[in-house]
Amino acid sequence: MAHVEEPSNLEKPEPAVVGYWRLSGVVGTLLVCAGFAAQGLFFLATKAAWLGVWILGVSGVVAAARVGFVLMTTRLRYRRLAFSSDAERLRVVHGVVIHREKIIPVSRLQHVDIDQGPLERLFGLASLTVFTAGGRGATFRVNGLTPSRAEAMRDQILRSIKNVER
Amino acid sequence: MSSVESEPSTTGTGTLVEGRLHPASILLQALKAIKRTAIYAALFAYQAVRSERESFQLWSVVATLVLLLMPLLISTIEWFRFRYRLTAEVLHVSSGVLRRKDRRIPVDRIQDLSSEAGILHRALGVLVLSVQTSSTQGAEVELDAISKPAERALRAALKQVTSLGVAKADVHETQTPAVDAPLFVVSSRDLVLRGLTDNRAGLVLAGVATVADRFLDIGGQDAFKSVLVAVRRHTDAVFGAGSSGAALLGIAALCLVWVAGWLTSAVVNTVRFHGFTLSESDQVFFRRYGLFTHRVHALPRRRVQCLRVEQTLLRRLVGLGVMRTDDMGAGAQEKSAQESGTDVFIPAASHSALMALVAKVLPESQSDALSWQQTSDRIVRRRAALGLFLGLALSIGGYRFVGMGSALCLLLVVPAALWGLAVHRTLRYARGHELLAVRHGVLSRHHAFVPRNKIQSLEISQTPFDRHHGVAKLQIWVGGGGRVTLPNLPLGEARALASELSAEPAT
Repeated sequence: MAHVEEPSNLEKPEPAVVGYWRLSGVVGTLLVCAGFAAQGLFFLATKAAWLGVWILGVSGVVAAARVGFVLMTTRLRYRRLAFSSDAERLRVVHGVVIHREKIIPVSRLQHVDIDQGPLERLFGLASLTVFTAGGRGATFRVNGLTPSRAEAMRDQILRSIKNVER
Repeated sequence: MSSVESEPSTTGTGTLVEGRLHPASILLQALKAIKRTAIYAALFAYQAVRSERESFQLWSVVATLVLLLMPLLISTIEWFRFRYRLTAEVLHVSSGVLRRKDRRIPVDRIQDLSSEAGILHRALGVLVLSVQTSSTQGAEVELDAISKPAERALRAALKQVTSLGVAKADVHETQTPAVDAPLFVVSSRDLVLRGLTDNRAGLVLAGVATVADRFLDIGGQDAFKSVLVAVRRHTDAVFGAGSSGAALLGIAALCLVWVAGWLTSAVVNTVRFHGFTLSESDQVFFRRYGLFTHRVHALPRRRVQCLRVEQTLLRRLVGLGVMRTDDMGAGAQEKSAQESGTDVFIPAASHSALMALVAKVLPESQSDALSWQQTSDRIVRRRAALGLFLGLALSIGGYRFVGMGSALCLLLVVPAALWGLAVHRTLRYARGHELLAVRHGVLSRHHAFVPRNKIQSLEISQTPFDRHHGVAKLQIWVGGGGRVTLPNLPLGEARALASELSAEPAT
């Protein structure tokens, strides 16, 4: 039977990713609720002011619940996130309620992305994504890496492909 | 503050070609963005003209200008950020302003280079060059827009790399007509049976509803009412006034629609797949069929990612099955493949004949004597627990209506446990040296055969209930996005299987 690698041998992302997830969760929630809040304010200025109050109230409650959920679960999320890459395969473990472990054989890789959003740049982080021919469900994505670490991982992955194909 | 820089590749050698997009792309990208916001700009401009309040006019003008000029500013900044570079080993593209992206595509993964130019592109003397790999998410790189000399330089450099044997660009196979003896011929009897087990009653209902709708539209309400009155009078005369004759007639009408659906399905399937013949020539499968429209589909053997043999309950009763393939174009489950029929490899045949055909389609299965293994027996306990939970909920809810008699609902645990036992007996997998096979289904039956070298990625997942029982679900993705699922595996076994399937086969 093949050797089974235990999750404890995997690498962790940078601890700063917790702050990034919290901030992006809060910003994302506020942006969505801002749209509803604008509608609520619009209705407040009309005869249907009750509808405006209702929309503002519901969007406020939803925003508070979502922000609270994000702030409470990011530590758990960080504890669960781990990854590894070696000559044969890439592996990422994640998920709080549903635990997931994604494995990609290095030889199946099609292309690699490193990307940085504005909030990631604020925290000095980047994301690495590896694509295969298996569609969206078959990609490998890790965020919470420093740019240099992401580039080193990418270069190692690309070298591994060459070695596999020799 | 660190950021992703477009550094020279540490894995590649010298640069063969590099450059930016043509400056015309600033205008082209801005126009694309303006098209999306044009309606809002028009609304604001209209308000600016119509409004009588000066402050509102001013804000409307500002909003209109922002919506028209902002895309130009953004596309200018994006133009400065976009660079591409081709080395002997990698195509490197860096782009993005807010979200910066650095993409590396190994040259030997590039499957296709295609170019196109619309009217505006041609007027500006530029074109769009798309680079595709086997990834199913559209073009991996889109150079919109580059000049024709730049496109020629990039193609020439890629061809140079290809001729050195580093990359293997896909070649469109010449499809020669298959002249060999057919591998498989589907009989008309099997096609009729397929139709009869594939009821299109819904189709007939939709057709009747459409006709009735049109009839009512053109003023047929009165005629419709008089028909209903006449039918009611007739049923009262036959069955007696106030009887349920009308209801019986309604049921008879529904039965008629059902039978019409069956007959329609039989005719449609017979016509659509008439004369179905599968043959093979030079590692390419040819499927020929059709009574009025003759179709020939070619599928190279190497593009077959997964082979499925399926039987619904009705088809199992008559011993019939269907064989489907996942290929690089689309997974067998995708709706578009199902509608066009291209996912159907053999539309109808006996189950035993289909299983015998598996070895001819996937030679990998010939070397393996498949030994089917069961998954965890915890599924019986889980199903029984689910039955108990449901029974308890129904008992508590039903107590109000039937009293203590609702406690009988607790007996749901028995059929639930039996169902779990049936699932445990039918859910199996077999791993060969070059193949993984999965079968499942209690009433219906499904087999999936996955060559190991077609596996793109694997995922082991556990819900909280799975963790409690120590089991996991293993999902396997093949090329084209198709997926095979194996639930209820003990966690250690799932990890071992995933590690084995993701390892490179020994050469």
